[in-house]
Amino acid sequence: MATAIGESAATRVDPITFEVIRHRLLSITEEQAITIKSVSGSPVVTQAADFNTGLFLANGDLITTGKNVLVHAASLGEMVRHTLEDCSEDPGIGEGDMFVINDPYKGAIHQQDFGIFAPLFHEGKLIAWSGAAAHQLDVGGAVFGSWTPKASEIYQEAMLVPPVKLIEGGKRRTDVWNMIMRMSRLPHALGLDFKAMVAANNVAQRQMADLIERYGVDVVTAVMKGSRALTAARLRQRLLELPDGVYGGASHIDHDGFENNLYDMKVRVTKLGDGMTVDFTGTSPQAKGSFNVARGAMVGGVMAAIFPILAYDLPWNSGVLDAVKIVAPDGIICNATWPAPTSAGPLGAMWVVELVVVEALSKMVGCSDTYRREGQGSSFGAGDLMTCAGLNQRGEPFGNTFTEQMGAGAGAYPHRDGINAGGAHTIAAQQLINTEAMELTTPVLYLYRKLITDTAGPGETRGGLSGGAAFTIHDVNFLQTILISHGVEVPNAKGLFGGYPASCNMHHLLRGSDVLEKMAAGQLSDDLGDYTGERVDVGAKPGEMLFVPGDVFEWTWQGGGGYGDPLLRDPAKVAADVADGYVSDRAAGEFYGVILSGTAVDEAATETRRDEIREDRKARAVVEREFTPPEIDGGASRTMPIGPYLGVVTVEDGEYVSCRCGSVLAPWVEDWKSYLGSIPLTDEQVGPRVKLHRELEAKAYLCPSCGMLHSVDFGRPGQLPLHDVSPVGARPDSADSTGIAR
Amino acid sequence: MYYVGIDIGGTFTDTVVIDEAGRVKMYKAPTTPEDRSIGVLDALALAAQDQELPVEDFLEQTAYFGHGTTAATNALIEYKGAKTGLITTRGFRDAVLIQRSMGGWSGSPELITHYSERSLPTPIVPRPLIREVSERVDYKGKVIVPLNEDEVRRTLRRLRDEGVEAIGVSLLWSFLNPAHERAIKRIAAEETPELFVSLSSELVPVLGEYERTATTVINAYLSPVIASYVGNLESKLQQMGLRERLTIMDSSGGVMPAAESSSRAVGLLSSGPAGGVLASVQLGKSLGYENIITTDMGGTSFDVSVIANGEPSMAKISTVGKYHVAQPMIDITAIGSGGGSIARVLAGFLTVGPESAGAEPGPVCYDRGGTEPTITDADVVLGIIDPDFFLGGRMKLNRKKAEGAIREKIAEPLGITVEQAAAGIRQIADFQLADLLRNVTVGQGYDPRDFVIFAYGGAGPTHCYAYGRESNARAVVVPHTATVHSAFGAVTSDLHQSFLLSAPLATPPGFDLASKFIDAARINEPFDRLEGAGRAAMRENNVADENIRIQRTLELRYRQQVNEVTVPVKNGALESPDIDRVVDDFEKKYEGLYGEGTGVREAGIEIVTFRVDVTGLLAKPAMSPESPPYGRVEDARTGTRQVYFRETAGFIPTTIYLGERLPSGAEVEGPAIIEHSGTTIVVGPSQTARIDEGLNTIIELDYPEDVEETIGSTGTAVRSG
Repeated sequence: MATAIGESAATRVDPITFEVIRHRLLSITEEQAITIKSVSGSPVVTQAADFNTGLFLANGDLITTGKNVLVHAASLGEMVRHTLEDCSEDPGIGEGDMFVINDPYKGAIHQQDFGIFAPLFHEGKLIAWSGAAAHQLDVGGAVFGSWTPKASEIYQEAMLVPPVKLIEGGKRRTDVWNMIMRMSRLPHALGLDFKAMVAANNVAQRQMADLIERYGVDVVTAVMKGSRALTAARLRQRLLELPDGVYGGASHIDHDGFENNLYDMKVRVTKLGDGMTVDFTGTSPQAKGSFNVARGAMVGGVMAAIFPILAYDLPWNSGVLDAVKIVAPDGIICNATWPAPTSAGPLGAMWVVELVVVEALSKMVGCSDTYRREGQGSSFGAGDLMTCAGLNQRGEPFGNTFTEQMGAGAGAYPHRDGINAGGAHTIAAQQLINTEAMELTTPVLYLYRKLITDTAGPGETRGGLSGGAAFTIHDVNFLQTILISHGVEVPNAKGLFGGYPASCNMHHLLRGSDVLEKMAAGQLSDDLGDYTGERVDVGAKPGEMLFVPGDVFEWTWQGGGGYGDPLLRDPAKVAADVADGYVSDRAAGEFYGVILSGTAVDEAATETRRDEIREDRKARAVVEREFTPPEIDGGASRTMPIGPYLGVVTVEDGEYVSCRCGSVLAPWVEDWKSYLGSIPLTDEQVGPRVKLHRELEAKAYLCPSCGMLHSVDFGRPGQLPLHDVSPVGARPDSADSTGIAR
Repeated sequence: MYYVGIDIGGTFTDTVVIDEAGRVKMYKAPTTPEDRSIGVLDALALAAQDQELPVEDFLEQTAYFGHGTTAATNALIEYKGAKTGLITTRGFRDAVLIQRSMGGWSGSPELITHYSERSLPTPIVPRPLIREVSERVDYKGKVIVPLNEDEVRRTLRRLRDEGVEAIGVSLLWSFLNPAHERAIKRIAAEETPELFVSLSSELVPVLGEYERTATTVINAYLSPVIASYVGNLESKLQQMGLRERLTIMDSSGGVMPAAESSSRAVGLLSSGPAGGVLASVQLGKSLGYENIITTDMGGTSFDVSVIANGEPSMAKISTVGKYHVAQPMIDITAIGSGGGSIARVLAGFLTVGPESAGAEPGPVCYDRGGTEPTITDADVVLGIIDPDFFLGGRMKLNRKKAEGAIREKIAEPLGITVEQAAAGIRQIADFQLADLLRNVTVGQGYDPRDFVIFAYGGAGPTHCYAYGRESNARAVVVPHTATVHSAFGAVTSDLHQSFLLSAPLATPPGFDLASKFIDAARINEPFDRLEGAGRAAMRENNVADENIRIQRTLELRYRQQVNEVTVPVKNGALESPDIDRVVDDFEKKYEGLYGEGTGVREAGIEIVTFRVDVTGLLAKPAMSPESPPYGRVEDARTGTRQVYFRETAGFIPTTIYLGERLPSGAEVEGPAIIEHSGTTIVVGPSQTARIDEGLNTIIELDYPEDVEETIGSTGTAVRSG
């Protein structure tokens, strides 16, 4: 490009060349991903897409990344930064070098995610990095798969590789390579993925060199910086359009691998002007147990939440963090300090970091008429995983990871229901494995894999249903498994603005059943109640389990949270859900207040029933703090919505929270939710497939005057009502309400 | 005698007629969405008129009638198929609804990042019409639970009573052991003979219950309506004089007889774009090009496919709307980039696409209410498209409005001139297309430098000189039939059908010779079965034995790995050493595609799928398009106009040619514009184009010396897909 037209001050590159090069950088990142998928051939990489690639500035700032597993995005940059810190002086970072890392305290999400990074030099000067990270089936340690349920220190879990030079001046360091391979149970697979990541770096290096040759190093680096600036500027612009406020998110993790203890995850997002602070103060101290994460994974969780809600149409890079300040005390479950174990952290603390930030951001956009469509009830709120090992049906030693639990439900949006089996928020383009593909490689026979009735969180729009599956072992004498999960006694997939939470994760084992005899007799059922045997609820983290012939394992997962008061759902949609078997008759009556006559809606009975429920709510509601509404003579003007039914109104010189029914409920300057009516809820009233941990209680918050449901909250006694939104600087509890020492 | 190809597109019904002397004529009539056969008859009337024949005589003298249609795609997108039920294994009725979690984000790349815009597709079969029966087969094909036939009978009767017209049957592992599916078909013939039944084990016997079931229910859903569409069209044409039977373009590499399309309608999905690729294969053969990247750019989309060593790349699974279809289809990558792609300035940065102004309101210059500047608007502002000669002058474009929109929305915010802005829009679009070409080609294991680009569709020829050069291709060819290329594919293609089945065979890890573990009989038996079925199908369509071509292929992979590689296998019975040779071929090809050292022989290998491709050669005349009577390049020159090229950073005088007057052998120096009635070919500054014997326009790209050397040395593609 010869002409220098309209150079932007930010980049000193004309906007056309800028866009051409920016697209080329994305294309290079895509080619890295193509290379990894090709060379690796591993199902984890190619189907679960549990990998990501990127290009970085010399300091590790991420410029482009693939749309695979979102949480990797931040971790990649952290790994580059740690390489710079640890290796710049000794052994030195030179041309043709590549570095390998899996240390969670050096940027990796957990030990199973290995990254390989290559510096890019131009005329002897470090100008950029390329890199990739990919999940590995086994990185050694106490158990196959390296997800270690009973670890109290990181030393017990898996091999740990801080930034180490793997390729020196273009030559592989075979001693280092061999040392790492030696520590894995699957050295072939690990070696192939290493080759894949090295090849991806080679592709990026070649393409970047061509680009620099053509446009010059200054132009290319200016575009890299500008690309980041573009995202940062547009995110700031978007934040300016959103209302200032403090937005809360809260969740819990049950069971630490040793005891069924409860841990808190708490976030407070303060949005002011064009920036926001994401503050995890109040989150539980790091646990004895493997679900902690270090800082890199926490930042990954925050970024993964921001991308689809606030940056859906922006280039995804570290520019999103320019406007974001993350505050997290050292030594909490999502910012753990050495040597806290972390092998299951991505499904534990990191998962819940993303969950609570999605919740807080959804509340933020819910307070904007422009962006309310981007807010959602929570998706699959608690990672769930099972690995298995033993001999396969051909008598060969094998190991595998079940991934079907990703068929959990996704959250509802204000304008549509959640996606059934939509899966994890952090996986942008998820693909479940076919049952047949699983049965081909793993000695199991499925009794079912299906959508589970009443797993979706009720709401004006309903959450997505979760799937579930049951299987027995087949053509082998045993199968050794490890189950790592949480969310069994915490319905993490919360609803929003009056929507209910979805089901909990559930795991049952039917020991010594008659399934084989029944099948031989031609009887097949997808209801485990039809088989004899001892039914055991194995909970969240049973550790190692041995399956033998006749055992049946059944698991169902969290659905998606609902959005808005279910009494406002179109009764015809409820009837359709009942006809489809997605919602039971009973739930239709209890949660949606819909009465059916045959398959059709009984309109009159439904209206009566819904009125009764509202009256019942009002009758039972306790109003803890009394409030005398102001005289509305000059009328009230709405300054902003709080979700679909509440709003902030200005009456003369005061600001108040008012319900859609017209009632002014509370002053806007205080913890206004405590002025609402509240009703304690039993587990069954929270949801038909919900179990609450002994330390949790649940309450519904509603308009005492019209009975509209505004929030379904659960937390420790004293934590309720949960903080949804408040004006900046007016939040009452500067003291920590969790009662947990920091 | 005449050979006729017709393709019904969204806007136009295109027709290509080849006469016995091989002369090629092209016609366009508006598509009539309410009854598409009207547009077909209109197009035929144009063709007959041109031959100075009554339509009846023209049809009577038609020896071959090939038809490409979007009828199946439309019926699927508009949910106008038959009321369909599904019978499946107890416990698995949701496989087709869960869609392996892909339903929410499939259908558009933006959905991958923009979660709130996701939605699930309306089910082809509503959940209450998905019925489970007791039966179970395992991974070995062994029956674990026998089929409950009484339950099947009850289920079929109930479905019929509920008004179902078609039934898909898809049971777990039926591709290994189809006995239960066949039993259901037998019972259906007894109980509910009026229902159309599609078995997954017949249609698509491959591993993976979601894709197999989705393909089967879509087939059941579409086949009855396609049967009536094709039947209606065929009987109309026959009443008017046609003696031959219709053949229908399918998406897997050829045409199928009309009768077959009524039970295998799923094969018609995306038959239009496939026609263009097959036309390119045929044209490539006659021009001596084996490695081709086809680019079809219209108003809203840019379709890319790769032809390597004369064979189009096939996709095993394709996305149609939000569904996943496991039929071998020509692998076409589509992105939403076309003449209608919108340019925007956001935060001081210029972007182009993916949003499109579509056909309505269309680009600003269409003057139909569009306000967002598009690529076509940039083409008009730069003088590339003559606003008075769009669609041969049938549609006047408003240059002033285009200019105004680009000034206001792009040039002023960026502080540059209108022309710089327009050239910028073009450059960004062209370079993005080049990036895509590169990714598609590299993704299949090839290097674009070993390929020529074929450019067709309305906007392809206008942009190909730039994206061709930018992707380092060897040359660009704009086919003579560029604006009716799919119809050309319909008339030139042969009968083709793929027969496949999955029957996994594996060696143990650490094997030395595969033949020690895989018995040749277990390979020969499925191949013989598939070939027998293929030959029978061709004979049924009156294809003589000497015109039947058979190609056997195996898909293999390393165990625990997912990359499958297709290896051609010789015809006839294999013996042990042949098996070891196949495995050697597989390993060589694997490393060729994925890089040295990527093979994992120690994990063992697995044969996944057997495939037999059967082609029935159809007699067609050799093409010899008529060169225009003028014979001199000067006669085609209509003048010069000022055109703005990025390369010259300003307007320069550019020669304009009337395409239909350019004789074969003509050489055109760039910068030049060659105007055809349906498209505008641009030859860049310092490029040259020549018109070959077939009236195709071949643009030689202007690489610096050193690049040309690189091209020369790489030669033809060494890898094959």
